[in-house]
Amino acid sequence: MNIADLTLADLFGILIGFFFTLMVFSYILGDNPLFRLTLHLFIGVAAGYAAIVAIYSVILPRLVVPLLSDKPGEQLLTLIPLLLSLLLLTKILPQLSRLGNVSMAFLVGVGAATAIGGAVTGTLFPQTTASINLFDLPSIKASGENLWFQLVNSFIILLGTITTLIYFHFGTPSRLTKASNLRAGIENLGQIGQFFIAITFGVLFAGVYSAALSALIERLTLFVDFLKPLLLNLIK
Amino acid sequence: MGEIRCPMCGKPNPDDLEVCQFCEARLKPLIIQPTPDESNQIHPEQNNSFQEIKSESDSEPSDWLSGLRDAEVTQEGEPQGDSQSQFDSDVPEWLSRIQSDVESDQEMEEEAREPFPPADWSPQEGLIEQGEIPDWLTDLRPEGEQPVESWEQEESGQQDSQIPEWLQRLRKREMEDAGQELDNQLLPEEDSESITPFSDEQALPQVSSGDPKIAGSQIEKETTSEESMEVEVDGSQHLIEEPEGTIQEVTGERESQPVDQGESETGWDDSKGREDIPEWLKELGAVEEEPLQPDESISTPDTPSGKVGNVFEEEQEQAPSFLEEGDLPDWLKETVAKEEDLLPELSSEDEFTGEEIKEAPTGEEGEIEPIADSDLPDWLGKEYSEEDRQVEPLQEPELSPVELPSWLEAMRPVEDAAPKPPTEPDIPDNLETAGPLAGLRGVLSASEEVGRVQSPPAYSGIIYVTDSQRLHAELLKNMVANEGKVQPITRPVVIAPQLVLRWIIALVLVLTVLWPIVMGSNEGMLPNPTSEILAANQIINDLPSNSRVLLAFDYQPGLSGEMDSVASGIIDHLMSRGTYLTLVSTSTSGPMVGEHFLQKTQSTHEYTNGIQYINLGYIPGGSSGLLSFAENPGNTLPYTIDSQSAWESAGSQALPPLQGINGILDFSMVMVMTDNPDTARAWIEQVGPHLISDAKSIPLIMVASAQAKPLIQPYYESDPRQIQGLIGGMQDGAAYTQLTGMGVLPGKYWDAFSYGLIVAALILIAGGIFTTVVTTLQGDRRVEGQEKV
Repeated sequence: MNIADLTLADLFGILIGFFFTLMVFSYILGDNPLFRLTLHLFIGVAAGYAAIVAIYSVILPRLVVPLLSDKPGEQLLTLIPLLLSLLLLTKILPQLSRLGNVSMAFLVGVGAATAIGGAVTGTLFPQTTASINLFDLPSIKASGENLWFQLVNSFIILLGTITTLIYFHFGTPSRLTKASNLRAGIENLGQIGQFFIAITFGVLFAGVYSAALSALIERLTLFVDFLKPLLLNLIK
Repeated sequence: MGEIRCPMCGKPNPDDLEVCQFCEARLKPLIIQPTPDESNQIHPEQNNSFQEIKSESDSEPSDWLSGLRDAEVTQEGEPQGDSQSQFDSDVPEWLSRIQSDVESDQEMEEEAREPFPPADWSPQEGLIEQGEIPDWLTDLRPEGEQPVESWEQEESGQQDSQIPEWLQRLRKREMEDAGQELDNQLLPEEDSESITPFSDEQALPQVSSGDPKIAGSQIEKETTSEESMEVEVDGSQHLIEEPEGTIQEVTGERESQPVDQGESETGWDDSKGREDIPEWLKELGAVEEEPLQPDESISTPDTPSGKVGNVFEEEQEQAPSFLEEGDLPDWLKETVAKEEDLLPELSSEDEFTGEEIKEAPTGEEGEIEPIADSDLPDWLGKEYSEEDRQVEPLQEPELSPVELPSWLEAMRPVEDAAPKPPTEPDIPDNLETAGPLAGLRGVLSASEEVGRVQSPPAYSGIIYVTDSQRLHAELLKNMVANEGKVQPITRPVVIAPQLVLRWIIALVLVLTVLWPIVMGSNEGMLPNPTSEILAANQIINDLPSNSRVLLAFDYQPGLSGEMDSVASGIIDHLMSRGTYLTLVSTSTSGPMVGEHFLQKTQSTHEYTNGIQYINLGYIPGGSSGLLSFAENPGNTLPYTIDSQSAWESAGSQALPPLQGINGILDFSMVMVMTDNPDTARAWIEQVGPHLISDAKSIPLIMVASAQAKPLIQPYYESDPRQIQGLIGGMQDGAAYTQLTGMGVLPGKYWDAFSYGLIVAALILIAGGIFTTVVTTLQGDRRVEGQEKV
C-alpha cells in the first residue's frame, strides 16, 4: 500500500481505523475510557447503520412505495403490514401495549413455526439419517475407504452422540433411598459424554482463537502497511 | 359446712345459701308445699301403710323381705300357681298392685322400644300353656325350646342378663332419683328426733287431694322374686335394682284405682296393653290372670276413697307408735346426730325391707345424703355418684341388641323390607329438682349439664411435622436467609500478577505475529486442501461461464479480517470464471461488508455494480425471510441496495446478474459466507431444501469462520450431504489458495498465522505445566503445614 496512491477519504479512513484499533488494544492495560469510547462508537455506528439499512431496504421499498403506487390491490395488501406495524408501535406505551400483542403473536408464531419446521426437516431428520448411514457397509465399501477405519470412526461418532445425550440427562430416581445400577451406568456414560463435550469445546475454542488471531493479523498487517512506508520514508 | 355446686354456673357455694353468690341462681329448688289439709288427707294413708309394714317387720325385725324369700325358697318345688297364691296371701295388696303396675309399665316400655313383635316374645310365653297352644303356633316353635309355663313364671325367672342394658341404666338412675324423692316424701319434718315416715309439709309435695287423679301413693310388692325395685313418684317411674331381685314400686301420681277392681294386678290389666293384644291372646290371658287376682282379704287395706294412696294415711297414724326415739338403734342415733345438719329430712323405716332408713336432712332441700352404706340394704347401699347420674343417660347408643329366638329370627323379614322398630317418643318425663325450673316436668335438666361444666379443652398449638418436612423447612429457611446475606466475593488464588501476565502473553503473541508481517515473510508452506475444499473447488470449476451465483455475506465486520482472507481465494476463483454475482445478507451490516470485500480484495477484476454483480441488500425476517427468499426471491428483495429494480418486470428488464433468474433454482450456485453457525444452519434448513428439485440440484457451499466450522462440518459429513463444499478458517482459505493459486491474503497472513498458532500452543502448554507445578507445590506446602500443626 502506497500512501501516495491513497485518496484523502481512504487516508482518513485508514487513520480512523488505526487509532480505533489502538484504542481497542488499550484493553490490554485494563478497562479504560478509550476502550469504552471505541466500543460505544462502534455499537452506535452499527445501530445507526442498521436503522438506515432497515429504512432503505425494508420500509421504503416494501411499505412506502407500494402505498404510493397507483395499484389499488397493492395498496390494500400493504395496509395489513402497516396496521400490524402501527399496533407493534403501541408496545412503546404501557397503556396501549396490549394492542401490540396481535403483531407480536403473528411474528412469534410465524417465526417459531418456520424455525421448528426447518430444524426438523433440515437438521434433525437428515442428521439422524446420516448417523444411521455411518454403519452402511455397502456404502463404505463403495466409497473405497478402509472399512475398519470407517467403522471405528462411525463407532466413535455414535458413542459421542449417545454419551453426549446421556450427559444431558437430568433425571432423578423416584426413590431417594434406592440407588439403582441403571443410574450408575448412566452417570458413567455421561462422563464419557462429558469427555466428548470437552473435546468439542476445545475445538470451538481453537476456532475462536484462530478467528481472533486472523483478525489480529489483519489489523497488524494494516498497521504495518500504513506505518512501514512512513517509517521507511523517515529513515530514508 | 358443706358446699353446694351451683346448677347454673357450677361454682361451689356454701350450703346455707339460697342463691348462688356468683350468678344468683337458686341453689335450692322450689317445691310446691301442700296445704295442711292435703297433708292430712295423705298422711293417714301413709301411716296405715307403714303400720301394716310395721306389723310385718315385728314378726321379722331384721328383714321381712328375706322372710319372704325364704318362704319362696321352700315353695320352689310347688306349682307356680300355688306359689303365687301362697305369696299373695303373705303380701299386701298394695304391693301386688305396684308389681302389676311395674309389669304393665315395663311391658309398655318394651313394646314401645322394641320391634313388634318383641324379640323375646313368643306365642308360647306367658299365659299360654302347652296344651292350649294352637297347632300352627306349636309348629312355629323351634326345636329344643321349652315353652314357658306361665306368665308369672317367666317374669320371675327373668334375670339381670335378660334385662336390656338401657333398662338397667334407667333403673339405676331412677333408683337414685327415687331414693331422693322417696325420702322427700317419707321423711317428716315435724318429728325430727323420732324418725317419722312422712312430714306434713314435705311428704308428697306434688300430690294434691284436689286432683282427682292423684290421691296418694301406691306401694305394691311383687308376689314373686323380682330383681329390681321400681319406684314411681308423681307419675315418673324410678326403677331401683335390688341385687336379690325384688321389684318394688312406689306410685305417687298414678291414678288411683279401686282395690277391688284388680285390673292392675298384672301388666295385661293396662288398657293400653290390652289393646295391643290379639283377641285370642286376651282370652288365653284371662285364664292365666285368675291366679293373679289379689286376695283382698289378706293384703288390701281399707281405703275410704278406694285409692291406694289411703294406705299411707293409716301408716302415718301408726308411725309414731313404732318410731319413738327410745326405739331407735344406737347406730341410727349416731347417724342422725351426725347428719342432722346435712339431711333436710329424716327417712323412716324402710317400708319395704323393714330396716330403718338413716335420717335424712330435714332443713336442706335438694341435698339428700344417702343412708350409711353399712346399714343399707344392698339395693340401696349402692351409691351413684353425680357423674353416673349425668353421664349414664347419654350412653343410650350402647343399647345391647335384642336377642331374638332363632325361629323368630328366621321369620323376620329382610331388614330393608321390614318396618323399622318403633322408636320411643322423646317425651321428657324427668322432674327438675334443682335450679330455677325446679318442680317442673319435662324440661331439660340443667343440673346435669351444669355438672359437666368444665374448663374448655386446651388445644395444643404444637404442629407435628415429620422429619422430611422439618428438613424441607430448614432448607427453605436457609435459602431465604441466604438471600438476604451478602455473599463474600472469594478472590481466586493469584499465582502471578494478572496484569503482568496478560502483558507478557500479549507481547509474545504480538511480536510473534508482527515479525513475519514486518519482515514480509512468505515462506511457510500452505496447507493441503481437504475433501470439502476439493469439492468446493470442483463445483466452482464446473460452473459454466456467465453463470449466476448467489453470494450471502452474513458475517460481522469484526471478523472481516478472517472471512475476507478465507473467501478471497474463492471469490477470486468465481470472478475469474466470469460469473455474475448477486449479493444478499441476513445481517444489516452484510451489504456493506460485501461491498467492502469486493472493493478491497477483488478490485483487480473490475466488477461493476449493477453489471457483473448486484447487491440486493438485507433480507429481513431471519429464518422467515430466508424461507420467503428461497420461495420467491423477486418478491422478497425486489430492489437493489441502490433502490434499483433488480428483477424483470413488465416495464423494465432485469439487471444482468438476475437475467433469467425467476427462482432460487435458477442460480448456478449458492455460497454463504458466515461467521455464525446459526446463520449457516438457517440457510441450510430454510434454503437448502429449495435448492433440490427433481431436475437438478443447486450446490450450496459454506465459507465459514474457523469458530463456526466445527458446527457446520456435520452438514458436509452427512450422507447425503446438505452442503456440497465447506471452507472454514484461515487454514482452509490458505489451502484453497494453495490449490487454485488465487487469493493474496491467505498467503500473506499464513506465516503470521502459523507462528501465532505455534506460540499460542506453547503458551497453553507452558501455562498448563506451570499451573500443575504450582498447584502441586501448594498442595505439598498445605500438607506440610497441616503436619506441623
